[in-house]
Amino acid sequence: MKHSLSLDQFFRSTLRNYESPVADDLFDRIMAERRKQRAGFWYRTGGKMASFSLLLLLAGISGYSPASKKSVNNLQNIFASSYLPVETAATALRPVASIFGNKSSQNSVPETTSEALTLNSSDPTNQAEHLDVQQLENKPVKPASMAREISTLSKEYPVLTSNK
Amino acid sequence: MTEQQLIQGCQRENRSCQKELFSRYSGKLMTVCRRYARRSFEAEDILQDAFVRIFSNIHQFEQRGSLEGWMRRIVANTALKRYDKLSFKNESGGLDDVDEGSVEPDVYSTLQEETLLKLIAALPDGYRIVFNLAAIEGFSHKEIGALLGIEESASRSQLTKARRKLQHQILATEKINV
Repeated sequence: MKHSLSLDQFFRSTLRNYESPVADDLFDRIMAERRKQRAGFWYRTGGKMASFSLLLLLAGISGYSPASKKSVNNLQNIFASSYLPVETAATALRPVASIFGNKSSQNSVPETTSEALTLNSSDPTNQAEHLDVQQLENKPVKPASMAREISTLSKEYPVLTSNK
Repeated sequence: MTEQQLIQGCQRENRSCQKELFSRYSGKLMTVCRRYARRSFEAEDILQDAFVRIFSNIHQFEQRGSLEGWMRRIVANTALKRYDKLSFKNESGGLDDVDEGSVEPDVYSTLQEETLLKLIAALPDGYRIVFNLAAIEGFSHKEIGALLGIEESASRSQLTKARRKLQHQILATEKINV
């Protein structure tokens, strides 16, 4: 025990004030590391602010307010009125719905295409889009049929197709 | 420049004060890092991380204790963070059958600082860290247990084994020198 204590004491007293050599460029590396960490901090903070702004923007578009539960339906209508395919609209809305925590069956965002089509068909205002989507899915548009339709239209409405 | 001025300068992010603080204490703090690290490049990494923390937190330094003591604690904490707390619980240095306490105190005086640092660096991680904390820094086994997340008895056992191994190595060094 006596030897142990003297061993400890010897190590302590010998190494207490001993100065080891330090690399010349270490101070510059420390400063560079600090700059990097600070830049990282601002980058992360900026990222969070950008995400929050995007969230606010989405909330503004959808007319979301905590009192209203119609926000997701509003967004669905926006997508539908811009003739976006239903599936795209549903996929795009899913994360938004999860952000708003909307769990009601009426406002829930469809998980599958068929569910999306069913949801759309129940709303009379969206039936036209519903049919369009079905037609597009079942019957791809061919250039020949389009040309035929244009020629029929030009016969019926010559004013629309005339250059004058 | 007094220590007080140095601290205030560093708190204002004055680069020349930061450089002065680094030049004044980096050598001693490097010795602390070398005591905890197994290899020299690890010691340099620890010192770099520790100084980043020192410069970032110097505004929190309460001028009741010594600046050097505060910086030493930061260095020790930074070093401890590098090692997994559980990695050395079941560590064995293979010296359980070596007798303790057969080194004459006179032998110590012939050893140089660099030799001591090499002897410490050659210890297994657990022995080295507990020896540093208990024998050199003066922590109690209870404090070490809390710091490392190990039992007090484990800390005591690691210290005994570390001492045995160091004495064994010192004797071996002496034999080579004779």
